[in-house]
Amino acid sequence: MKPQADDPHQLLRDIHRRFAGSGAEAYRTTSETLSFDRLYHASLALAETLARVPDPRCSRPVLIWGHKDPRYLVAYWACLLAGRPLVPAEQDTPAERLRQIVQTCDASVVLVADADPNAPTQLHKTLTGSDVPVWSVDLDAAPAQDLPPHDAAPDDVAYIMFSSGTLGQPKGIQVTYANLADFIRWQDQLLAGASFNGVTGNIRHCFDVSLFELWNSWLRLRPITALNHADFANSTGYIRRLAADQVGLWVSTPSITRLMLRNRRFNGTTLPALSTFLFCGEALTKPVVQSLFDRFPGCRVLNTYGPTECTVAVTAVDITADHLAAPEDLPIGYARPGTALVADPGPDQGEIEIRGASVGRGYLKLPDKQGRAFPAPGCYRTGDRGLRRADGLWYFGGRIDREIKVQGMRVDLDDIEAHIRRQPGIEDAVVEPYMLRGEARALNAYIFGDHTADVLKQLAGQMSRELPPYLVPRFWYAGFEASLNRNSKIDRAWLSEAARTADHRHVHSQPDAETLS
Amino acid sequence: MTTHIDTQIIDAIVELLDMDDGSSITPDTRIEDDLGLDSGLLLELFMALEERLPALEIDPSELRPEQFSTIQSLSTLIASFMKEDAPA
Repeated sequence: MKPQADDPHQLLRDIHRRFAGSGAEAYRTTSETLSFDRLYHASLALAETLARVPDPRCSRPVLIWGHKDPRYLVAYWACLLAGRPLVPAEQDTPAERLRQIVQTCDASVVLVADADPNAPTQLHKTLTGSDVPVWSVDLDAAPAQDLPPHDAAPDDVAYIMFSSGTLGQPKGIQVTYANLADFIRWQDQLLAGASFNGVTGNIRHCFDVSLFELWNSWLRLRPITALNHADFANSTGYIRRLAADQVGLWVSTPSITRLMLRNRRFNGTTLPALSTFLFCGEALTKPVVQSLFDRFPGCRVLNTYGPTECTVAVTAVDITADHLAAPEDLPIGYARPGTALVADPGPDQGEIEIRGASVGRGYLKLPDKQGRAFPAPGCYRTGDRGLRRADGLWYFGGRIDREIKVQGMRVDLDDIEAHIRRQPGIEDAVVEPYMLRGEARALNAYIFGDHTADVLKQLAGQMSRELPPYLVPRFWYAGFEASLNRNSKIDRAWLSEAARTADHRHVHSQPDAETLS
Repeated sequence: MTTHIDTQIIDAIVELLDMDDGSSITPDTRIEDDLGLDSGLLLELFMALEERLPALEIDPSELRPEQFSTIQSLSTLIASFMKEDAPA
């Protein structure tokens, strides 16, 4: 559909109304399906219930807890329709972090997007000490009456994504209804020429790249074929489902695609409908695109770039054979309509500054961080280096600080080191990415001082109770030659020597946890 | 005893994890708890094994993580996925 209404709330209601009466499937997991019509009625019914929770200013968020479940979509739409900010939380979020998030955002309700009837009771126990109600989501609920209008304004918060940040309170990134509407309109233009019968469900909902999947499904009434991340090792099974569902639009981080490409069945013969690949969340590399061009002849590869603070992505470009042949890295794209990118100090290179309709509200209750990253309303400093060609095409030039991406997730190495140093008895630590073939796959932690493998295990265990899995280093080292004490510049050669000679090593494994996003 | 499949698994892991050699890996080495393979790396390992062992066809519906905690148990599982021996 053409998203026409200027008012963001009207736009959302228009999109939602088209779900009514459509028996087409909206969401497919290995065990359940949800039609658009059912999504319509169940979300309207839940929105009615949400609207009865006293919240005069529509400012208290609703936390949605779950992973790849049709109830997530019902909960998502209920929040949008009731004008309540929504906060996605993954099931593997540690209890302490979940409590922090509920407290930081002052959640009014927690919605459980899970088929297990015991999940709400368990989650209620996890949130002990908080009086927030925990509700299950009923896929078969029917609305009683017309939904009364809510009081949320276009510049009120539509969703909050909690990002990395291990010190103190978690970092909540707020995006408004106006930002969301601008993103939705952009999707209509970005994929105007593409035709597809289905969309992948690769991305976890706590990662905003998932909005590409959700909104392109909803704008065209096409189903999402959801990948449960516990099934990641079974790429053959997912490829079979994508083939059966004739999925045509693929959205992922380059990491996920790199993994899929390891499976020889991931090609245009097995998946003839798959014709458009959209990337976000990490630097896209030439070998990935070359493989896609080889295996899916004639496919379209779109690269995009953007921080969560600016509503998913702010640039896009179709990658061509010329880009592959050029000496420089692949471009991140041209600024999307309504958004401008500027290089500081410029004119053509420097830190990327984003201005315009995509720039969100900023951080929840973190005035210092807010002041640094958002020097003025509608202006965000990314911390990314960029380079602009004369025709407006942008290239990514790395980070200014020590924030890196590990399989698509934002990780601030300084932050994790500081977190380890705060543990009792720890004098110092260095955290560096665990690199394989040029790609950060996990984290290495080097702990200074006289510690045993047991101490390393305890440290890893303590951190995994406090932090999301992707922020907990996998490889821990202690008892290495520390005569060269840590200084401001870390010698990589020395670190690999430390790993080799360390007396104590611990591997932190996370059953049921997945580091991909 | 180290079997042909064990050797292939160890060689694939050495390549996958960019290790100097496989001298530190034994049949009792735990794949996740000692080597740090997450499900993504595990997937890559399966694919690498399919490339190395032409007679191997992994049936994803038969994959259970508890079946391959060590090199030895993975080796047993892989052996069960081998089709009729291809002619030499």
